[in-house]
Amino acid sequence: MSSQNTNKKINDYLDGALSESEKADFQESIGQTPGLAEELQLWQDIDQATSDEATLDFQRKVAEAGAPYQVNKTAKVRSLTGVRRYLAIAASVLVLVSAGLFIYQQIGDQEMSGSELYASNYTAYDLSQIRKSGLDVANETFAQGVASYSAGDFEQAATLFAPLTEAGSNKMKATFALAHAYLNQAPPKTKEAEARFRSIITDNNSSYVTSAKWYLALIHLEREEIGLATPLLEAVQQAGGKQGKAAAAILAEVE
Amino acid sequence: MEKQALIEGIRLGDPKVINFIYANYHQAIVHLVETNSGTQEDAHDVFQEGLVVMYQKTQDPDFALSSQFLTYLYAICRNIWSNRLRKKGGREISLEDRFQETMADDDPSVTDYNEQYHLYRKMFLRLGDDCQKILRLYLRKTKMETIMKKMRFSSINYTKKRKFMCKEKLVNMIKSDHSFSEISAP
Repeated sequence: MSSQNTNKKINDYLDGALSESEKADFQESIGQTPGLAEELQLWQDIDQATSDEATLDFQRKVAEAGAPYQVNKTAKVRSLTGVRRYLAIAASVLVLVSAGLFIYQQIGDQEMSGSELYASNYTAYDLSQIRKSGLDVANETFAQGVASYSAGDFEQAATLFAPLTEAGSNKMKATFALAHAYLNQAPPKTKEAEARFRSIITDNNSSYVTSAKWYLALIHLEREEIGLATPLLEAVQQAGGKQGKAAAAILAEVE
Repeated sequence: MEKQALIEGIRLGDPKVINFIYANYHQAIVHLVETNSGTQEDAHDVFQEGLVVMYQKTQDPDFALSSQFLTYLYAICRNIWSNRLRKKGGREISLEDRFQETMADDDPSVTDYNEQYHLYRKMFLRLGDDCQKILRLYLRKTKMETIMKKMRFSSINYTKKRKFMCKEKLVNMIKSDHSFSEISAP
């Protein structure tokens, strides 16, 4: 069983979504499949830990208050308070050295890796938003593609969207949908998704341009291509809105 | 600030008190961890874990603090870091610290604290807003149909799919964190 299938089975088991026979099969496989019991325990423990909302909220407040104190991930460096104290002493001895240290402290390193930024910012696009926007509701193939996408059958959705990207007034809409269908497949077809997002950006003549930049930036972040992600994020930030705010937060994180 | 005010502030999750604690006590924990093979990031994490442990202890109506606030927080953080080092190195370690003598009779146990849970919550808080919202609703045993409406999703199937993807993402984030293998060690 692939990792994806195992995860799905665990998820469905914990949700009580398996039939009696499937449940019995799964329970039997726990004792026979190396690592499965541990994996199931992990999923249960995560639920247990995160269902304590009071502690979760307190931890969030602690993390927010601690943001100014958090610096380099790997280097042994001092906190801001420590730096100020150090500077006060060092400045009387060697101004240039302390100034250098100060600059080093202020610059710091990025807090989260690109892949972590991707993971914390990417959420699967709800294509039904497009359908609800009133565009081409009558297009049966597109509607079927959205239905497949909504049901989690991203391969089928991609198959349905692909021919619609070739021509027609709504080809950018289909291209956008196709990109998301690729991105949500397991494993994600990021190269294919990237190509579609790029074509939307190059076309520069649809309402999906900013969103395409946003998702393309996330793809670059996931690959740790910060330099390629940055100009895209800047453009999204300028456009404003929810994605603009998220882009600004990421830019603050990577700068 | 008096220690009772600090304890009450932690119990209520008062941001002003949390900020005060950072400003006044963070450096002591940084010193403890850095002088015992740790990094700034380790220290920051231990400090946050220490505060969460204190929060959980203050929820007990019988909780009373007999020592100084910093002494107690320091002891908790010391134990957390000691446990972490033991798991890293696979052996008992003795920390060098400046408060060791004052700790001798006032060393609170953190054995009832689940270190993995701290990591799970930390990663949960790094999920996107939508994922956090979906998973919170799910954990409150909210019906899928209600989640679907609240999130303005198009179908129950899609809602289930999104919930699964969020949970799977969280699991993957936890597994890829550098501390996961360390704290999962027996």
